[in-house]
Amino acid sequence: MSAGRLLAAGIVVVILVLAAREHGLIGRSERPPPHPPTPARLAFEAESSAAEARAAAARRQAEAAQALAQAPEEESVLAEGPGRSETFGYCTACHNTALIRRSAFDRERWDELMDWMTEKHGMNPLEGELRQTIVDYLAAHYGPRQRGPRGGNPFLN
Amino acid sequence: MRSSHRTERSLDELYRDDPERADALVWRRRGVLKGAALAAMGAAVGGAIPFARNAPPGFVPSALAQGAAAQGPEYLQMEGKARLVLLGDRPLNAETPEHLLDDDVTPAPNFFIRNNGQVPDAAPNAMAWKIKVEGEVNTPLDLSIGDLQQRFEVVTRRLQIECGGNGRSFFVPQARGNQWSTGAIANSEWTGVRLRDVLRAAGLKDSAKFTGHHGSDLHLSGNGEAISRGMRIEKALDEDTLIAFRMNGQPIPQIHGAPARLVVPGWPGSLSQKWFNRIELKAQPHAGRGMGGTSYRVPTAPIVPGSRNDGATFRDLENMPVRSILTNIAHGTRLPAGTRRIEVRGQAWAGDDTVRADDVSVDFGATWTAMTVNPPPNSHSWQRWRGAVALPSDGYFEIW
Repeated sequence: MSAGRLLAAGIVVVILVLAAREHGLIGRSERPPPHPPTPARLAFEAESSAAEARAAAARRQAEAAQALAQAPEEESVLAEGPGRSETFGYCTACHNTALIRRSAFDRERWDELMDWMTEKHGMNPLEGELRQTIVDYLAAHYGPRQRGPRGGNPFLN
Repeated sequence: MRSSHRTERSLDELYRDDPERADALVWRRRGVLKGAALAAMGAAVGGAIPFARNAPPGFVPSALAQGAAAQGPEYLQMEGKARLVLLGDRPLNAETPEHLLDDDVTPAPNFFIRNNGQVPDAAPNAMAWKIKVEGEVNTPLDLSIGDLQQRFEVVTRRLQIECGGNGRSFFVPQARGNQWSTGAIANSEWTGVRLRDVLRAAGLKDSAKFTGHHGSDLHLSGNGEAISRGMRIEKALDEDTLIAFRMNGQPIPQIHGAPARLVVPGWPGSLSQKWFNRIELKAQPHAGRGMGGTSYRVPTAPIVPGSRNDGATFRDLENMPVRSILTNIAHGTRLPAGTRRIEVRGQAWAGDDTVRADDVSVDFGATWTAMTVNPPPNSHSWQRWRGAVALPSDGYFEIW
């Protein structure tokens, strides 16, 4: 066997041994254990998940408010009487009936409110017969209370 | 302070069936409340009324006034919010019962809800939320919340926010708007930067006399801003006027204006723009939605209550009036028989001013007992008052 062949065989053996070690066929293969997460990483993860939870809560709150606003109302929530359908249809295009039901104005002030909503809140101008129907209805069913909940107004009586 | 569902309904029915008789019974008394009327009223509230002789003409017991509302209260049910009294859901408005305002720092769930328009979707990235400063300034700014935190001192203060219409339901004749009782007030701990630091960084011109505030909430119709109010520059330069991005140490809840809002304590809450994204400096008063006319304004000279008025001679409501609430005893509380002394406490505040004295009456205002009033922990915070009152006997009492 020539020295050259011996050298080549030696090189082949070395390569094989190295390759086998590399692939874990011989020798011990130990992976270093993963580093424990650093405090900074733990804090980052905690903050990230807290931020996600807050964002989810904010989304749910916005959705809940929107869902409340879209909750359908029945016309029958308003007092029965002529003009109820017209009133319900026209008013609830913009706001719910709680605003109406909690109000107590005389006819003149209800009438004035129609102009105010047009001027300040972009309501389609309400005129003619429809206006009369709606204002009559409101004044008849949501008129002023006899006195306030805590007594009369000394300046008016 | 007692009532029962049954008696409230019966008063309601009395009014429905025979309003004149109900009025004669409950309202049209002259002089001292006595005899059959007193007995009837005592029966209705479920007990004797020991101080009835002091009751003012036209007096209706609080227990009845509350039950006699056209419909019983509806309550809000929403994640992260307490059981607030729902005033309306479109726009969404809810007020806090007084006994839920007993904390010195109002927790987020107990904060009243006031909206003029739609509640916007949550911003995906709070720190990137931009706020513009423009108008009568040398250098218009466009800053993210992150920029604000880096460039300006971050401060934390306890500050009141009170709706301009707080207490409106007690007006006679009735005034237009949400019928707030006294629960449109909160005093949370706000963290943010002073508006004046930001305005000075932008460089106020001499012509900058008024502000105009803008937020991202849309009008209910979807057309334009829900509300856009403004104030005199002096208030914008007050040390307690903040651009806030935290409430009680937490990000501001969505319903209360996340990720940033103005906090303009002591002036109508409508100035404390939620979902705040732009402020204009102006030479003339702002003309946004909610300015001018009669809204958020008061007469400069007496007018006939409820009379028609275009508001031409009105001025803007600024410094809010003095007010005090009882927070440790809920409406309708039933105390054990034989109770002769009760501890009472609550909160008091007065817009930009400080409350010096607070007095309580249990005999319809005939005599008053002085309470102790704590100084505010910082300016524009509400103040704790506390004390004790004596009751002469069992019966129906109102704590005034």
